[in-house]
Amino acid sequence: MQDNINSSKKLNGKDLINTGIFTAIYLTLTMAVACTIGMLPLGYVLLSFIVPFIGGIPMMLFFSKIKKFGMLMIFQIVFGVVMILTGMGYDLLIWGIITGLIAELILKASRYQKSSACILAYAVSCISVAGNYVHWLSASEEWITSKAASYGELFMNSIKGYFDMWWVFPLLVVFCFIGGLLGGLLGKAVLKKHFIKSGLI
Amino acid sequence: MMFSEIYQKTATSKQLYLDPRTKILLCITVSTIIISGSGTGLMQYLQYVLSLLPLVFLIILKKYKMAIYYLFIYAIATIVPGLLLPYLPPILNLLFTGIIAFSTKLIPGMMMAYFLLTTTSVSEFVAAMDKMHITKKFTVPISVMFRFFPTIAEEYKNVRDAMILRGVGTLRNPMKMLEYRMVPFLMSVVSIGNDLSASALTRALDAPTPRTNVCHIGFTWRDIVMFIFSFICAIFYVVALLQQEGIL
Repeated sequence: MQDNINSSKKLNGKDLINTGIFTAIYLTLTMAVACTIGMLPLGYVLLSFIVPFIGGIPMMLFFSKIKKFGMLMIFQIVFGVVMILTGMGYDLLIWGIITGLIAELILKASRYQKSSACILAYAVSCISVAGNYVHWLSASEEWITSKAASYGELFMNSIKGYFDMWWVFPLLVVFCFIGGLLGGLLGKAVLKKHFIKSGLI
Repeated sequence: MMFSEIYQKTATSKQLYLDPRTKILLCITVSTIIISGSGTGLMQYLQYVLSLLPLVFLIILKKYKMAIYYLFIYAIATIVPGLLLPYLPPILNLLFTGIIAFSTKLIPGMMMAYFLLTTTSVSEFVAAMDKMHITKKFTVPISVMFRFFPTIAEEYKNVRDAMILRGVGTLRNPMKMLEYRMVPFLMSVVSIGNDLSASALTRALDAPTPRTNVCHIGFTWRDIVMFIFSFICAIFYVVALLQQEGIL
């Protein structure tokens, strides 16, 4: 009976419930981290590293439960929709779908068996966190230019040079990816140390 | 009958009863228009009106503490960045000050989401999604998610208390803290999840037939008022956009 359920390709109730649980954990974790560290200067930028890093442990547990195509996509879409409803904009959903699809394909290529593929897929899906910054950075730029005009020409000119900071966004993407890789490695180590020993997986 | 625990209606659903679909529409209207508008001319007034909307809802719901908190945060986000801007280096401005200023555009959206979550019970939400013909692949994870937020808070509190009692994993050693808190927390949450899926499966979650719902949702005159309101906002938004482009 158990094998019968596992071997079928369609998602069943257990998979959907697992997806829901881990989405809730990841969302709470993200919010908790974003509300504490995100308030500090520059902490907001470090979020792109810290969120994937801390999320590594629960997500590796989630990835070890993924055995079918689609669970990660549902995770990313639900996460993106929650972000839209809480007023964070549409970027995360779009990025989530793209990176989620790539991560799904990586997992599928490894037949959901290799843990190294899990780490890679997690790191790729973490890039979607950077998607949240797209709108924020451009809006931040727009706001400063509109304000800077009222502070005189000198100030305006000193700011203008910094707006060629095209490297900020790719740097954030790299941050997310590295954070995801390290988080995945940490998660894998913790999984090996605690969860497999206690027979939870 | 799927999750009997989440069938209770919340007390607040009686005050200001709106259809969940209307609330979702309002959420999207507020966050979309406020985020994508540039904050000049007609758009500016539209944004102020939409920022007032969550405040009005909070006052109607008699959540005065939250309303004051909202006003306070909004005021800080409006005033402080302007004072900081000239004194900080540009890179900090781009990554910090500008983002605080931008958060004036996010806070109303968050408050609308707070309103949506506190006034809608899970089964109302699921009923609304069923009416919108969203597949079970999304309704099940979302309802499980809502069901799990209180559990997560409770379990985390228990683990934290236990760890403080034993004196392990304080902030002095963040990596140890991460391990000692996350592992027991995940263990208990995952086993609760296993119980939940077993109980949901015995109650025919996987059944191919459509499920029934005790919540009767539908549109009333209040929903129509809200629909007209968001329609007018959308028209203003389009007019303001055209004005910016110089067409009007």
